[in-house]
Amino acid sequence: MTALALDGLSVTLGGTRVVDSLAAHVGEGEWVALIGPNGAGKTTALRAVAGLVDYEGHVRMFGDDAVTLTRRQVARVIALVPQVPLIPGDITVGEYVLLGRTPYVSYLGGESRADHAAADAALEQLDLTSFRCRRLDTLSGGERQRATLARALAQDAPILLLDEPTAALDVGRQQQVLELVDSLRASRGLTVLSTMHDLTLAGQYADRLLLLDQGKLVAAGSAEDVLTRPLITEHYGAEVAVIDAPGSGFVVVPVRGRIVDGAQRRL
Amino acid sequence: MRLAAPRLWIPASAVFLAAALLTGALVGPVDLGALNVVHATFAHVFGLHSPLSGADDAILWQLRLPRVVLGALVGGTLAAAGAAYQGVFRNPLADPYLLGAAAGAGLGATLVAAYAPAGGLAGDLLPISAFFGAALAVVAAYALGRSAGAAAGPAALVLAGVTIASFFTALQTFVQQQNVETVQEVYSWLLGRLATSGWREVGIIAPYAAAAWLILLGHRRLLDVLAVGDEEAAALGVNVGRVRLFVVVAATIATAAAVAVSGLIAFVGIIVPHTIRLLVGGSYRLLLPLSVIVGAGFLVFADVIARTIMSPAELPIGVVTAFFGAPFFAVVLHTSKRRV
Repeated sequence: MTALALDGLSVTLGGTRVVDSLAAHVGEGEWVALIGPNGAGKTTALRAVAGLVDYEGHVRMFGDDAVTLTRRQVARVIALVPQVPLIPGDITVGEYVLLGRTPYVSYLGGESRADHAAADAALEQLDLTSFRCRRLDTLSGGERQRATLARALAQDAPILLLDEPTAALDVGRQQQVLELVDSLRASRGLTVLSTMHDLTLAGQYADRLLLLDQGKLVAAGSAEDVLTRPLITEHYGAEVAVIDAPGSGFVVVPVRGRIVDGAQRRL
Repeated sequence: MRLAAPRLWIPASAVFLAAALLTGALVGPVDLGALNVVHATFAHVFGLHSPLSGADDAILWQLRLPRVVLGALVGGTLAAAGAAYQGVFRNPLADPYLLGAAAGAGLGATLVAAYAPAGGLAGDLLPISAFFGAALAVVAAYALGRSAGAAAGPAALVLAGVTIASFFTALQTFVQQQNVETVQEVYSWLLGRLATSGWREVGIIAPYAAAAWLILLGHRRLLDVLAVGDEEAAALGVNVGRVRLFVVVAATIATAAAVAVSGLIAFVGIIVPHTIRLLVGGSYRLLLPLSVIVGAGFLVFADVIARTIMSPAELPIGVVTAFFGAPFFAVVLHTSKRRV
């Protein structure tokens, strides 16, 4: 079943068409990565899907057009983890994760027992139970990101949107976060749409890649189809070699100068 | 520096407020006795016979208790409104006067002092004029801020508030310059005072304070949601503009009512919420109710100091809140290992 279908999605910001007639679908349980150079419109496309920016065209979630859903209904289907979440330092991890239950709590009401149970489950799944009473400003960057992920999980939404989940993390933590997302996807049956900066990691974790350039979808498919030297050279303006490394998928390596020797080049 | 379990803070602050109320009712030139005060208060509330003599009873029921209750209502309102403003604007420096309420009230009061016919009428007109001046300033600031577009977020509203406040202050200064004889009256009003004539002032502010406390307390969970930013709050299904509007309206009307009966009492809306933040944490679930209770107690204590320290003369209460509040807050800030 299609979890997310984008049809002619366009976003105009300040007179510039940032996302241009994007058409794509994400199957239930699939992980799709939006890749593309800086300013390609990846993040804006993600924000449009979450309903945070005005757009033309259609966003359908499990068949329902987003315009027919209230903000709260959308928040029960889609959870967003922004690239740089605003962290209120003086509240605790437990209080923060509980905010993920907001779409289920009435306007002036309080959380039910079920809401607390969902937040507890998210804390446990991300190994944050012992952090419950810690203030957010005492956490490390990686721990904060886990807290934000836990908040998104507490939202109990079947679709998870991740904006650059590995930005500003070292290589080990990048792997940990992506493995974590992948295991959550398996255990909770989540559908994941993420923007990704690192092409190699995108190819390793996502089922399919969508390459955007200047707001337009220019290539879509598996890592093998999209992570090719001509496509990356054309759209990133980068000189790269793509190495088919057994066990690692397709590794995109920047190449200095025009001469590429030694590596098994894939053209 | 979490001093105690969160659930202990509410009863602890309630004890603080009770102590403040009792102190406020007891301190004065005439000694009434603690037991008599409590007994007589209950007698009045439940329509029983007061144990105090006629004159003593009038001192308690017509002079001290209205003033104590007024202090509690004003203090609780200013502290809760300050906490709520800091939440909706995500700005630690926000206070209830941020959107121009003080400047608007100042202009309203000055206009009455300058142009209203002298006599008893001016005394009645001043609170009303201050109330509408404050409300008008905030409505103007809100309309101006919103005209910048919702995407501009809280910063546009704050800038609009600064703009409106400067304009109203300019008008107020101009009117005052034209009518120099009003300076003293306006000045003493600007410094804040809890002067009562029986229960009249309590009656003016009580409905606004009660409504504002209920609305603000109802929004305490949503204020936590706003702390993660407008966009993430929207992604959590919250209509951010509507929450901000409700909270600002409730806080502003109550602030305007407080200003109308007590003038401009500075600092309460900043110091009380921040002290609680530093001691207890930043979640509005606890911060808002504690701000109401502690703010009420704080202002009652401040008023006791204001009317005793230079007795029989009275200090403006705004001077007391800043003079004693600032060093206390400095100590809290210094001993706290947390960031504000």
